[in-house]
Formats: sequence, structure tokens, C-alpha cells
Amino acid sequence: MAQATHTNQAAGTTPSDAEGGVKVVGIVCNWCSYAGADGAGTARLKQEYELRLLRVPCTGRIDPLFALKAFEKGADGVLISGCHPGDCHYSEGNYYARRKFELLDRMLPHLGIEPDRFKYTWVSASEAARWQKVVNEFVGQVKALGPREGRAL
Amino acid sequence: MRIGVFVCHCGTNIAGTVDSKGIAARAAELKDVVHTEDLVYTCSEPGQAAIQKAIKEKGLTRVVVAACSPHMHEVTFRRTVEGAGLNPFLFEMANIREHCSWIHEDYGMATEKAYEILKMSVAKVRQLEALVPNEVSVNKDVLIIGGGISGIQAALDLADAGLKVTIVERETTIGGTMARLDKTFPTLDCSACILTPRMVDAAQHENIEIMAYCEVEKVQGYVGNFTVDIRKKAAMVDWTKCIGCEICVQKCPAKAPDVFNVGLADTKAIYIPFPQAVPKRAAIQVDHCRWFQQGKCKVCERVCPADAIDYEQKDEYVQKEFGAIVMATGLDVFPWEDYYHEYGSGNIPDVISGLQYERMLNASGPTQGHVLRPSTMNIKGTEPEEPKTVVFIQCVGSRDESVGRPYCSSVCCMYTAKQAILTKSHTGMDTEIFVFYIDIRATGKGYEEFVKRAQTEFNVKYVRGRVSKLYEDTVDGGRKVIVRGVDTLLGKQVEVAADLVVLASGITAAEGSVQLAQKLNISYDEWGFYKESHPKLRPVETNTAGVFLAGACQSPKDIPTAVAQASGTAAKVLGLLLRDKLKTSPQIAIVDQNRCVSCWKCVEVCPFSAPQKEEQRDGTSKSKIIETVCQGCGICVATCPVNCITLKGFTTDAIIDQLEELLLV
Amino acid sequence: MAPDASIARAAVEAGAPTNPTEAKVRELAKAALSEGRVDYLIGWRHGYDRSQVIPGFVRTPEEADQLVVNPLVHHNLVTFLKRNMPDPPNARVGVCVKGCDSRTLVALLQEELVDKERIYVIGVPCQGTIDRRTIEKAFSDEVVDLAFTPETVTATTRMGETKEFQKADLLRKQCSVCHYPNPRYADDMAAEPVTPRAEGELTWPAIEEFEAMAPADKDAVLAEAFGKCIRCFACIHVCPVCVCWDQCVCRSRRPALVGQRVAPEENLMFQMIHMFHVAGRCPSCGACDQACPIEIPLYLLHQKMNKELYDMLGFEAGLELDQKPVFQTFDVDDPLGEH
Repeated sequence: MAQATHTNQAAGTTPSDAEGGVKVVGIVCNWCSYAGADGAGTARLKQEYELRLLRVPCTGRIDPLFALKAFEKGADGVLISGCHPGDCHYSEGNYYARRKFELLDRMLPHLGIEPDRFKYTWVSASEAARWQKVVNEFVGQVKALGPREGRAL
Repeated sequence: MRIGVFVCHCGTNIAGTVDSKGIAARAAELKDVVHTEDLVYTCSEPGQAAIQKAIKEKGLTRVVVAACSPHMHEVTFRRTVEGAGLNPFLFEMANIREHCSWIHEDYGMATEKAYEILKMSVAKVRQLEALVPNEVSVNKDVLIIGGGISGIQAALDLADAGLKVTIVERETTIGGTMARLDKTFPTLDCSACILTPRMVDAAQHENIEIMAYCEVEKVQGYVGNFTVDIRKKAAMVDWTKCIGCEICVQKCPAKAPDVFNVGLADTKAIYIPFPQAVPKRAAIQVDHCRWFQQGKCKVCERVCPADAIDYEQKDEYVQKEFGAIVMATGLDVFPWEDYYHEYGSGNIPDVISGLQYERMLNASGPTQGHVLRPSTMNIKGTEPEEPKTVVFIQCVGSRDESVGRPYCSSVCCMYTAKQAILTKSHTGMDTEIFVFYIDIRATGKGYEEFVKRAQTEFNVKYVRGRVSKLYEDTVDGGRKVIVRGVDTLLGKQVEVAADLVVLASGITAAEGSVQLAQKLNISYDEWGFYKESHPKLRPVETNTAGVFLAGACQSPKDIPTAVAQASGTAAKVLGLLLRDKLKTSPQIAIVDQNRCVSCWKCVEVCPFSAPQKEEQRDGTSKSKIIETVCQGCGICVATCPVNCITLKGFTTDAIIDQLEELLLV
Repeated sequence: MAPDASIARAAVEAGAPTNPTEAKVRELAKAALSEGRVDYLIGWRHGYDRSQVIPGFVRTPEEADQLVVNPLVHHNLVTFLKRNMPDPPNARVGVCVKGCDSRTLVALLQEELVDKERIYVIGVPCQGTIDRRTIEKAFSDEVVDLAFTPETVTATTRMGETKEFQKADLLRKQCSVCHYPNPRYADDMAAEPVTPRAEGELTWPAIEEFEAMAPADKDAVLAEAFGKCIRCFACIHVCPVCVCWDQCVCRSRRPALVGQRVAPEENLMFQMIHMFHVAGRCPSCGACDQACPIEIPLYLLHQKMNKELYDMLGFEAGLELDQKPVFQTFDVDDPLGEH
């Protein structure tokens, strides 16, 4: 059983500059990951600043093309999170989504986008501490790569 | 379009880290925003009144509230705007509390982030449409999964209110864990004496059907309209004929482990768990039956006076429909043998669990209520002995990070005190009893007084400290269990040579709780306890509409709390089902049939079979989504290659607009 | 009935069969047409001259003599089946398919987008097809004739220059590693099954070099290649499994997944939409690569996509009728992603 990382230590204390700052988009499912993020907020678990969330009912709603669109419009990182497989509120959405996101995960580097700029994962409504960890690790990864400069996408 | 933006301070919850006033003022620069306001507590009466005033005076056609999570107050504010005459679905919340002010410290950066979140919500609100909910008719029957005290209580409350209730119980009898207890704290009522009348009430109630030895296989449908497949397990006994006389049990030559008695004794291959079982019917455990394993015997068939044995019986499947489902699946005991190797891993016969001890204390248990040392039982030629020194160890499998159980099981301090008192009643006041504890949790009515009684009136010695090791040794020629612990109040290590050690093993979720949760699409935590919709405000509902919780399946609790909760659950179910029609969410998917190319991918992927092939006048077929069945997940929307399916409230254009608002400068 | 006059002006007549498969195809087509089993049949015929091959629609047994089978028959004729057949409305259609073509037909049949009862399929086991554009680039003059032996291709220009090529050097990218040259679905076969050029684990040599590049270099290559796309939609039209036609989301403003801006990222977005929509149904038949007037290396995308689907799930599109397209289904135990 993983140790809970209940910490109120500030994360991301080095603000990214306005110029060198990164923009990370997160698309999360309403029932699990959005609620998990709420839980992290209620527990005051400090997180990096650069993530902005979009809410959808289910990861099954997420077309992999949304991630491509986000990168095309200038996102430096895209995070997708939903219910653990088997626990989907609509029973099957994340099973379909899982296959699409895995293909997306493998295609993005082929399009010239570094693998560390995309992640799909599963965070449940009761995993507030895990949400904090996922966010801080992923945003940290993206910050390390810096803003993305691509011309193809 | 006329958008109103309201930014909440939430006292200092938001305003302490985010410049609510500032971002409200800035929002005026956004396209179509005609009104901006900051409010100290938007959800309060004056806050809501301010929104309504602005809607009416400024003719607002969209409203954005930047405040807490929509999970908190989206419902509240939808009602607010509806009260002012605006369609409640022309409303969006920007989460600048849980997702911003509460997780950041830098005022400047948090404020910038909050403004971006607000801008994204304004971009989204422009894409929203007025929506009107549909209505579905409601089935008023209730399914209760689990026939323990919580399931029985909820069933009786619902049945008394006039609803038809079905209890599906996977054992051959209802009663659950409470049926295995001897006496209950703090009154020392006999557990069976208060439980069995309820069991009989449930069995005899005209509105309750008990389906024992059954399991839920599959659940389909949605709130108000569930279709449930139930498997009636083959007991190998025809229950319409069995009269529960137990002659077959007496005559059966094959031994089998006795789950009801927690392995303290054996039962027979054909068994009835306990004398007051409801229904009182026999069942054969085929893994231990000589006929099924070796093709020999059939004694039960010969002796049964009712000719009820049926070796050919097969599992049967039935399908039933319900409007609501209550989960009352109860608990199991922490398998300490697999974790606490310092306590002997279950190999020391005189170290037993709290539930095993409960069976020993019970007059209808395997020792007829005599407290005996297991190491002296079943030895030819010697009489079993009573213990002179008994040690109880609290928090075995609870409050222990090292075994992955940091939570408190709520009942163990009390049942240990109870068992200590009962021990003295059984074996005499001169029996020495020690209880090793960390804290004593005696929070219920009369509980503290009960524990005090154990300490003062019954002279139970409470030692504050944990036990590091148990091992067997010979002391003065006798076989003992050495308990090595610490007394932190004295600051010394202590050792006790015990005759019997009882581990207050903690509570876990019932076996199979996770698989069942997945069948119902309800959430559970890492230990398999079911997740309530909100721990304080909605403790008996789940996030799956129509599925409710009662009892220990939600979290460890004692009998008074379980019974109170079960009645609360019944009230919530009544609140749902006493109407004739239910409003369904209008945030559902709709096909633009002009663009549909009849590829049927949507039909394939929908988990609810909502899209159907609808024949058009020209002979072609197009997809049509049945509004009352659609749950609004959006799988079909993401699957449709034409992108001609719209998910109201979460359209693709709304997502693209939010991305552009965020990313393009 | 005489051949359609408009085609006669543009297309040169075929002569006697140049190989047994060609003869068999003509024989099967004649039989189907004369017995009335099909209203018309789609195969390959010569174009302006004997160095060209185009799809041919034959309506009479006599016309069937125009059908040819040679290394130029790269066209995936299944694309003509992918919509309701309007000519006449209840026509029964015959079609010739190679191995890769048949997989796209199987993909359409899996989704019931083609009515099995209304098609007659002639399977043509394929020895590999060549990219005529490679030959063209070897000359400054127009190529007017191509002659084939099993191993060689001899080109003749209008001015009389000739050159012999090794067929192996001219094969389309996917042909040299083809595992499925024999049609997976056919009513009649025009030849005995041929030995595949590759067996065992699938390999993807055409994209290996690109895959090994650094992200910035990949970005540069793609920006250049897709910067040239003029969104003529030839690739979309010729792809058999791309079925939305005029309802295509790439032509629509709602939702605004692609815009009308001219930029490499818009073009690449458009291509990726196509790729994700054909994922699980595309066998990398290469029709899109052949159709592109600018020779954009679309195989960089679809071969990579199919490689990953194979790595992820061992999935290969269009092999069996009872297979489910990879994104229309799932396995609870899919070994994907974190848990």
C-alpha cells in the first residue's frame, strides 16, 4: 500500500516566467478525477500553477483529437485523467478511451511532440493525494521541457 | 448575448489568495459580458438575491459564477437562476477555490490562474443552450442487496411505508454478522434475541420477499428503471419442501469447515448455519459432500422426511425490475493471520480473533458458551480447560499503517470491553484479564460508562501499549502464550503468560464488494468500502442515481449507527420513489440526422443501448438516441466520425472554445 | 453493346491476355456479366496508353476483354463500393480485389457498410505493385509503354528511349513487406495463392528512418511535407474506409476541428483526423499515397498508426469477417496504461 503523501508543503514555488511559462491543459472526467482534484483542494494539497482543467462527463467523451487540437493551439502539455478501468461511472467509457489514448500516446512523439508532454492516467474521487502527485510530477516534466516550439502541429 | 459574471470571495477561502474583486472587474472586458460583481458569500441568501436582481435588471441571458466546485453548488445556483426566470442550464461555474485558491499560495499567480479559469468558463457559457428535462415513469420496487441488520431495517421501513422490497442475500439465511454475536454492547442484550424477531418480521411481512442463497449477477438500466439479473444458487435441496428439521445435518457423515463459527469447529457437508436461521433450509456444500466428490453416500436423501434432497438441482436465473437499489452488504473480518506474523500467523491455537471468541461465548456456539482454551480441546482422554488468564489485544488490523489499514474500525474497543465482562461472567471473577490498547474509543450513548464498568466493577486491567510478540512457552509445566508488550503509562516493558489471547481484529469490506460495485457502477475506496456521495451532506447516497448505502459496507460502524443509517437510507429511497415520475438530466446526446451517415458506430459503443436505428421516410435508416435512456456520457459523441452527435452541455465546440480562450493570446 | 464512347476516346484497347491471371479475371467477369449475376463489374483497364492503368467499369461480356492485371494495378477498387450504389439504385456490383484491397472490403463488411448479397468479388492474388511515378522520374520524356516480366519492368518513352528496371526496386513501400497478398475475402479467385514476400512478425521498414529522428527533426520534416497539402481531398475520396463523404467533419464548421487557414498545422490536423477515424480499419493499402498529387508521404502516418495498433493489441485490420474494429470494442484486460 503506497504511503499517502499528505503534505501541505508548497510545490512549484519557482513561478515560471511570463515568457518562458508553460501552459498545461487537463481534461478530466467529472465523476472521478474532477472530484479527486476537488478532494485535493479541500485537503489544501499544494500543486503547480500551470494546469488548467476542462471538465467532461466521462473520458469516453474525450476524442484524442482534442489533445492534438490543444497542442495545435499552443498547449505545452496535455493531461487526461479519468476513473480507473472497471470503475467508470458509465461502466465502459474509459475502456474505449484507454485504447484511443494509448494510440495517441504513441503517435504524438511521431508528430514531433516529446513523450513527456502527454500523459493519460486514472485518478479516483478518493485519491486526492495521488492527484497532487500526478499534477506536480507531470507539470514538473513539462516545465523541464519548456514551451513547445513546433511548426508541424 | 448578455453574460453576467459573479466572483465569490467565499470569506477568505478564495479572497485570501485570489483577488476576487479584481478579476470580477477585469471580466468586464470580455466579449458579451454586460454585468460583473464580486460577492462575499455567493451561495448565501443575499448572494443569490444579487444574482437574481442582476438577471432581472440587466436582462442577463447567461450567468457565470466563479467560486467553489460545481460539485458543491452547481445545483444551488441552477435553482437561483431559474428563480429569476433564466433557464437553469444557461449557467456555468468556474472552480477557483478547490482548483485554485486552496492549492496555491502566490497571490499574483493564483489570481492570474483564476482569471484564466474564469475566461474559460465564459467561453463555455457562450456555447450553452437552454435545456428542459424529460420525465420518466418510476418503478416503485426496491432491491436490497444484503440481509444483515442494516438490510433488514431498511427493508422493514420501506415495506411499512407500502413499497415492495426484495432482499437478495448470498448466504442461506439472513441475519448477517449480528447473528454471530453473543451479546451486544452496551446493554448486553442477547444479539439473537433482538435480531431474530426482526428476521421473522422481514420474512413474514407481506411487502418483503427474501431471496436467500442468491446473488446479483448483472444490473442494467438507470434510476427508477433498473433491470437486475439474479442467480438463485443450487442448494441441492428443494426449499419448497425442506422443513428445517436438521435430521440430514445430524446424519451426514462428511465434515466441512464451518464458516458461521469462523473455523472454530466443523460442520457437516449439508448444513443449516444456526438454529434461528431465516429461512431455515438446508444446503449442501458440494466441495465437501461425499456424493458429489466420490459418488458415495446419499444418506441425507434417505433420511429426509420431506423428500427435499435434489442432487440434480441447477443454478436458476431470474430477472427483476426495481426503481432503487440499497447496498447493505456488510463486513468481513481482517485476515490477521496473513499479516501479523508476530502474533503467530494463526498457528498458535490459543490465539483467536474477536469474532471467533464471540462464537465461543455464544451459548449456541461450538463450545455451548463455555470459554475454553483451544489448545486443550478435542484431545482424547483429557477435558478441555478454562483459561485463568486472558489477554485482549486491540487494533489488530486497524490504526496500523504497516498492514495498510490506517482507519479505526469503530467497534473493537467496545466489543473487547464487552467480551472481557462476559469472560468474567463465564469463567469467574478471579480470571485475570488484560486489555492492551492504544486509545479507548467509547463514543456512543452509555459507552464510556460501560468501559468504566469493565475497569472498575469487573476489574479488567487496561494496559496502554502495543504487543510486539506472541509466542508459546511452557511456564510451570503448563502451556502458555507469552504476551510481550509495553505499558507506556508506567514506561516499562511487560510480559503476561496468558492461557488465551483474543485479537480485536478490525473490520474490512465484505468479500466481493469491489466486483459488486463494478456491476452497479458505484465508487469504492482502496479498502472496498462504498463511497457515499458526500461524507457529511449525503452519507447514504452514492454518485450513481438510484443506488443507496446502508450499514458497514459504507464504513465500519456499530449496530445503533447501522440501524439509524438504514432508516435514513429508507427515507431517501422513499423520497425518490414516492413520486410517479422522475425528471431526467437533459444533458444528453442528440444526433443531427441530416448529417448521419448510418455507420452505426454509435449503436455499437453505447453501454446503455440508447442509440437505435430509426427508419426514415425515404427507406434509409439514421441513428436516433432515446432521450430517456441516454445517460449523457458522450462515448457516442467521441466515436461518431462525422461528429454529428451533440452532447448538450459538453459540446465539442465548447471544448475547442475553452482551449482557444486559454491558449491563444 | 459498344464500349462507352467517352472512355474509348481516352483509353487504349487492351490486347490478348498477357498473363494467366489476367485471362482468368476476364473469364470470370464475362461469366458474371453474361449470367446476369452482376449489373456491372469494376476492374482495372489501360489508361491513355499501355503504360497506364485506371479503374475500369465494364457492363458487357465483350467489354470484359478490356480488363488487365499487371504490376500497375495498385488502385484499391473497394472505394467504389463504400456508398449506396446509385447506378441503378439496386445494382449488383462485381469488383476485383488484391490482398490489401480485400482487407478494406472486410473492414466495410465487418461494419455492415456494404451489403454482402449485392457484391461479387474476384480475388486477385498479388505479386506486388509498382509506383509508376518512380519510373517517370527516370526520364525527361513521357513514358508511353511498360512491359513486364516476373522480375523486370521495361519502360519505353515517346522518343523511343528504353530502360529496364528491376521490379523489386520499383515496388510500393508496403508491397515489399506484404504479409497478405492473397485476398481475405472473395467469391472466386483468379489464380492460385502466392507466397507472401514476408512472414512472421510484421515489420515497418519504410518508417524506421523517420522514427529514429529527434523530435525537432520530425517536426521539420512534417512541417515541410504537410505544408504542401492543398486539401484537394483526393486521399479522402480514394480511401475505401473513409465513408462520410460530404458530411466529413473536415469540411464542416461545426465542430471547428479544422479551419480553412492555410498552414501546416491545419493540414496535419486534417490528416490526423482522417487517421484516427480510419484507425483499426486501414491496412496501409497505400491508395492515399498513390492518389496524392503532391506525393505527400502519408505512409509516415498510417504505417506508424498500424504499427502501434499491432504493438498494443496484436491487432491487424480487415482479416476476418467476425473481427471487431479495434475502437468499437474493448477487452477488460487490455494491457494498456497505468492502473
